[in-house]
Amino acid sequence: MRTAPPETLSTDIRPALIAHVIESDLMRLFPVPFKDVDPLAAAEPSKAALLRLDSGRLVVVEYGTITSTVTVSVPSDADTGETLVDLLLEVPFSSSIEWLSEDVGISENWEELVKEEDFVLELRRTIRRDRRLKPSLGEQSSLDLPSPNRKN
Amino acid sequence: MRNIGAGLIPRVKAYIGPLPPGRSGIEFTTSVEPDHGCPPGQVSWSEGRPGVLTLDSNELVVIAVTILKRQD
Repeated sequence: MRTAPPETLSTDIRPALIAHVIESDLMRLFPVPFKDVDPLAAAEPSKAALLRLDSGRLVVVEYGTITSTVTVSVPSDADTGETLVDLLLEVPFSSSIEWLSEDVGISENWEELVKEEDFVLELRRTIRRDRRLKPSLGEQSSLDLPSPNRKN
Repeated sequence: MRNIGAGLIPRVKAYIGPLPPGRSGIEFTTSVEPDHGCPPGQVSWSEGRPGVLTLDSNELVVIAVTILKRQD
């Protein structure tokens, strides 16, 4: 991973994962420079980094220094599930996860899934399996559905 | 410099629940409906939502609150 320049992010972001780690672990897991977040833009004193994963996907990692909360957000036009899988393959902190967004798009309880030894690969398998079963789950469907405001 | 941790749309962010003893902050209530899809224990109010007032477009938004407690 590496930090990406701010202008790389061209869409809003949405939270996708919450974890709790102590600050020294954060620095070990994400060995990149974090920048202080404007106090008016966070619920607690925080620092953040925009990261380009090895896969090319972008994530924003924000760390609340009082509660030791890591919030990983993904661009609003990104595939949340695939982005998180790429992140977790690169940064192994699955055991610290406390919440995954439903945008990840899996039908199974992730809290059960995370107990699997190969959690990340299992997560990827589950995401892809569920999408084959239900293409619109977790990502925008490519089907050309009629707009409610459009007469067909 | 862009505030990358905040995303592109300004929003008010808070934690749900009472302010823990000894921790700096403001405890408040509000009647403004928060964003959907917030992580558990967290809440936000984004620019453009009903009740969210824009002070500086794409920069600064506020909501009306009743402050219950303030700890400096």
